[in-house]
Amino acid sequence: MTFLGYEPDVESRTAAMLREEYGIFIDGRFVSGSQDRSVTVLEPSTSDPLARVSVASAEDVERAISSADQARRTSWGRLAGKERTKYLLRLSDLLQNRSRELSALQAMESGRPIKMSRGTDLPLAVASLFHHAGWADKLEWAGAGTDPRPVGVVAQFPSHEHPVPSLVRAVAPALAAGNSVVLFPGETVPLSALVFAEICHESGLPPGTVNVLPAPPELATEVAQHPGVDKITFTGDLRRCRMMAESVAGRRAVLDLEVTGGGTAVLFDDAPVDQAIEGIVRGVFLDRGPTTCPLSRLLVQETASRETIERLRERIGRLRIDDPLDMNTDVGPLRTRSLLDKYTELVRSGEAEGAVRWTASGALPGRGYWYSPTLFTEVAPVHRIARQAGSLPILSISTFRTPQEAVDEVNRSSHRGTAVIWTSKGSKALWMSNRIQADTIWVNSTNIIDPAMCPGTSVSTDLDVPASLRSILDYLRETGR
Amino acid sequence: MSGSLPIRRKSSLVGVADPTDHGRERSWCRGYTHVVVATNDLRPADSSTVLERARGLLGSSVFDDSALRRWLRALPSVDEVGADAQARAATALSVRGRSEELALELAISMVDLTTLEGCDTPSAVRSLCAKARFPGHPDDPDSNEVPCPPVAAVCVYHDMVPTAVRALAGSQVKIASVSAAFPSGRAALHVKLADVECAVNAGADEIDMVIDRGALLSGRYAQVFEEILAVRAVCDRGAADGERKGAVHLKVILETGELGSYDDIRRAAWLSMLAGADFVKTSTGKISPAATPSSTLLLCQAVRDWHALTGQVIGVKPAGGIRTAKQAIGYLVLVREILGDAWLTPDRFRFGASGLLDDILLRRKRIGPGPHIPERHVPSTT
Repeated sequence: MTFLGYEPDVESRTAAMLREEYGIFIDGRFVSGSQDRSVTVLEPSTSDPLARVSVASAEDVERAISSADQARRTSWGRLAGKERTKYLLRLSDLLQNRSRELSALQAMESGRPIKMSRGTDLPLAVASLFHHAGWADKLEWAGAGTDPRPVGVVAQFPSHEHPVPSLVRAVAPALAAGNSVVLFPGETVPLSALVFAEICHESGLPPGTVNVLPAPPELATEVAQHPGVDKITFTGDLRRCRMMAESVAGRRAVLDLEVTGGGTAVLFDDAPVDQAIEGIVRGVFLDRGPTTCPLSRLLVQETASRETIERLRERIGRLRIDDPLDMNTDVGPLRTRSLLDKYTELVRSGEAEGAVRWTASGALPGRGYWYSPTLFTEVAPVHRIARQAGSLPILSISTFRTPQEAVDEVNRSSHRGTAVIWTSKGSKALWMSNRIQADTIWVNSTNIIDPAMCPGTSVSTDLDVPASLRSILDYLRETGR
Repeated sequence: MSGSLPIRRKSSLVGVADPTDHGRERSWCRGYTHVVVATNDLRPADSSTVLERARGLLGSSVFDDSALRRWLRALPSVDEVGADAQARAATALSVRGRSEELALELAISMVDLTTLEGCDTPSAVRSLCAKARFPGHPDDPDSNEVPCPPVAAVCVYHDMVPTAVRALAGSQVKIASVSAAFPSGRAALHVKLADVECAVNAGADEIDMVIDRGALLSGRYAQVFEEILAVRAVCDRGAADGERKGAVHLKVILETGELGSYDDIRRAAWLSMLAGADFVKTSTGKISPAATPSSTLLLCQAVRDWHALTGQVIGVKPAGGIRTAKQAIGYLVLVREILGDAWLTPDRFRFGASGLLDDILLRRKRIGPGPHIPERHVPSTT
């Protein structure tokens, strides 16, 4: 008998409650942009249009910032901490009620498999709101003095890969600390952010507390230079982060950068092999978030390399590439056409530079931004795929001989967001984690995230940004400053 | 070498002698021809071959506790959190519609229907055997007249084996006997071997022995090995006598709930396979925790790696604590994910359960094809 395959368990598209038009959310109301420009959001799995969204212009940004400032000075900023707690708890409740809708919507607009959306992203978002609701009335103990104040108006540019958890994990601490927020979701994935805006409206947040404006990338630098903005949190690749840092230089706004990139896994020969293979495949292909530095590189100890690579190929070959709305799907499409082009180009460059490519076999749907999982072996540190895979699901495998070599290799990469260590020897894990320079280090696990965990700004040698763990503390300032 | 598959065909059962109610059984089992699996050529023929192979695999001239310990410690370790997550993920896959129908039929054909109570009587065992042969009774107005395969085996204490033999005469349902001082495993070796010999002589087709967990946990691996080997020798002797058609298969029960860690479960599984087991079984079902998806996952991984190493096919049997059809399907998905379709056959996977069968039949009725017969009895028109 065979099962004849697993029956598709497809979430109905109507669960997403998709509308044809979405406006932007300013000052507690949904409006269309002042220039009446709108952009079509495409669905990655088919490249068909999903909905039309108004795009914010500079005037809209101006209005949003002043409305946020108003809210901070008069309504939201006047509330006692325990009142803010109540709002945040209400937000988390409403988000939970609508989590099915939001997970379907996120799956449709970003291509992220609904298994991840429903299973990880939405629960994490709800838990973040719940956690930060607890901070709202305990700010004296956050570490910013006995009478901390909110920073003011915060402009936030969350990650585009996993819209919902990124935006919630950005908004929650900002609101808990008493700031007002102007949120700029990506133009390609604005829908879940706008539904979140509805939830904010439903929860009775004072108008202007949260504003949501899908904006083109050019607007980011203008926002950075706006005098009304007190703090900017920005997630993006190195080039954009550098542009933001340059725009903000000399201004009064505080900048928090999160550089997206690729994480590195280090696999020793005494690792729990079965779980390590699962964890690595999960980290690279299945569950690329909500960390901004999903795994893309594997350093495997040379004695174990042959067996590990064989097992990785076998496991990757069994991944199910299908409709992101199907609960059985492991791997969905890439988010945009440009990402797919970048992916194709990077794979080609990998082969051209001399690494050995292996791609999972199997036909892909014709339309949409689909890709076949690929891994590269015999990757040297100088190869582009080792350094630039970043947010793309390409696994590049290099070997090492001694733990010190592995540490040096991880630290040598210019981007050191996350690292994962696979070993069953506790002393080795501790030794490695003391020496590896990375924001987040997981041992024998991948992407286990607790809402109390602070997403780190990634340490990068190319960009002089002070590393800080973004937490409630970042959204507060001590009185007297 | 294809596995044994229930396939819908017109022909009736093949090669079975014709007792009194075989005609009836035939009408219910019509359409199910169990394709006989080709003999597993890589199964060691007898216990001396097992020992020789074990020495070869260990590669040391001395075969003692230290040597076994070194060999077992060289196995890769298991991360508990990761293993639990992997087992959970496998059981979350969706099996619906036609796939669910096929999966439920397959699950029924893999059940080892079990009764291991102190108060078992011959008539209780006879009822069990009747149910084993005809899980969905033809005269049952609720059964939807959907043909139902018989279960794989019944599992009883060894003194009930003669009763089972009589009750199952002419049926293809096997008889498994728990042995070797089941469930505790605490008895002198000669007592355990006498236990097994009784069962084999009475006509058991399969022996489910428990390992000595005390010996395992105190590092006396050679003793555990020798006991399994000795039981295997008794099984082989019994198979050679009389008119038995096939080998007496040995299932080794690890009692995973007592072993303490996932690493030890893996080591126990490998030790049992080294010593000549045909099946590795998770639990006696007498203590909690019994079978869990994680422990079954570990056994499946051990069996997969053993097959890669030696080419021998070994079966997996989770027992105890599997009560619902949904759980059973989850286990089948787990097996499929780790071992592939080849292991989805009663010759390589069994469920040790009692109440599970009823839940599967209930579920089958709910989703099954064919007309749904209403609750009141409708007389048959044929």
